[in-house]
Amino acid sequence: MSEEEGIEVKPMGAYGETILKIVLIPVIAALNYVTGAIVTLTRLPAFLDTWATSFGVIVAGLWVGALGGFLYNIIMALTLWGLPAWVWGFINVYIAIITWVFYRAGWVDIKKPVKLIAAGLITGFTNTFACTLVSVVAFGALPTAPSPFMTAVYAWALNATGNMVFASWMSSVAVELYDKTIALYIAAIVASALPKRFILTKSTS
Amino acid sequence: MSNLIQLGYEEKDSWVHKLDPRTKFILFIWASIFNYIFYDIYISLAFLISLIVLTIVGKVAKRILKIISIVLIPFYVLSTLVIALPIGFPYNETPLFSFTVFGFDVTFYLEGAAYVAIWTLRLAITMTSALLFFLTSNPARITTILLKLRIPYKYIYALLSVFQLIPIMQRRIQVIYQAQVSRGLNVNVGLFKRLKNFLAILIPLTLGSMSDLQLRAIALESRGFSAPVKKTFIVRSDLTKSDYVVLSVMVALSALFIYWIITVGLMVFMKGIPYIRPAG
Repeated sequence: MSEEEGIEVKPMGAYGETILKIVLIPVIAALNYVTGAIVTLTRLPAFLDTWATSFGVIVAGLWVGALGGFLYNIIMALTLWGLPAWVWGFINVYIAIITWVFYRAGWVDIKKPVKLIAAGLITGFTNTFACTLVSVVAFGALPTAPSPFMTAVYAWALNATGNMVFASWMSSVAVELYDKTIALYIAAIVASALPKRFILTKSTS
Repeated sequence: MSNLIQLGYEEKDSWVHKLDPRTKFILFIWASIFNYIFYDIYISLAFLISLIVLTIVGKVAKRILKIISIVLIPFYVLSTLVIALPIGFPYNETPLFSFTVFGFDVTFYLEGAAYVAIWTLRLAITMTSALLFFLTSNPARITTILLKLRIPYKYIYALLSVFQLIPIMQRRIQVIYQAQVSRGLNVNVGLFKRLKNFLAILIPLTLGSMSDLQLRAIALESRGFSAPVKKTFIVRSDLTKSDYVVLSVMVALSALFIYWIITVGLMVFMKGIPYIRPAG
């Protein structure tokens, strides 16, 4: 059968978009989750487990990115990190909100690298405070990442100040700035490689 | 780290598997909360041993212990090296033992070692109880319970489908990685090239996942995903005698714990070590 025979072909409406967005939420969470596997394979010294949250915001809007990011942390709390770590979910919600703000302002665009890097740095820096709070509540302000670099920064800051919270914040600063900048850049690159038919948000340009 | 975990429920005939998922979830929350309240190695050890016994009964001990050791051994070793050595932990007072490295006397302190041990045990308990719930609870029973709690089905779908998607994506990563290696992808390169390698795997994975999206949406709709009708259940989930026994034990122990907290404090059996808050 074809259109000429009388079949009416309707464009995908808001209803179809809603279903796609709901199906996208677990994809965002799973992409954040498996990023750890790709990081291990490619030996990157980073976490990058928020890139899909930003990607979800760019592709499908704020609530899809935020829910996908939050869901990722629920899964991590249920499997690897344990109960207190669900509060990391709020960090992913924060990442979604700040990505949305920068995206609406037109900063999340690979054609504007300076603005994109600035957006990443701001995201990373502001995120260090939230990370420190979670580290204190859930991990006793101990060095949480199995990274010699972060542990060395932590030990240096602890030795210099005797303050575990400050040491925890310093180790966050040492990683979050570049980690969140790269994560946001990756989200922008992957979104730009996506065919237009997958983009469910209105263009900012 | 995430690639190390074999996610998912496995059907097994055990007493723990037969428990209602609600009971196991309450156990997870209950064990986690009390362990984060108490500051006592002995109580935490008792909790952990009890949970390990349950994992043995539930025939998931091997999987859980593997995950716990992969996550917590590096955490424990690194944290002990930083906190128990005289690097700056302000509460270190009582030397445990000393040794000499390159002519330097190095002392391990009791307060730092205890602090790290308590936090590691807390994490071990919350992770073990979470994994016990997760690996022994049938997703169909979880869905039934969540629907009974009037949680919209779309959110239940989002939560449970992640567990199906993760193994699919992990397999795809291996396929893409092998394909990229055959095209000359080299992991022993500089940082910038490693980032390019990362994108070489990530972009095909994401594009593939996005192209599956419409297929998945159509498949769901063809089974009445968003139909405005009352959903029926294939699997029932009701509390049994065993659930009531476990819940009663938790209630009785909660009463005991509250009594201890009021009369003795947060350190019931552990003496001679100060109570240390991470924020001072």
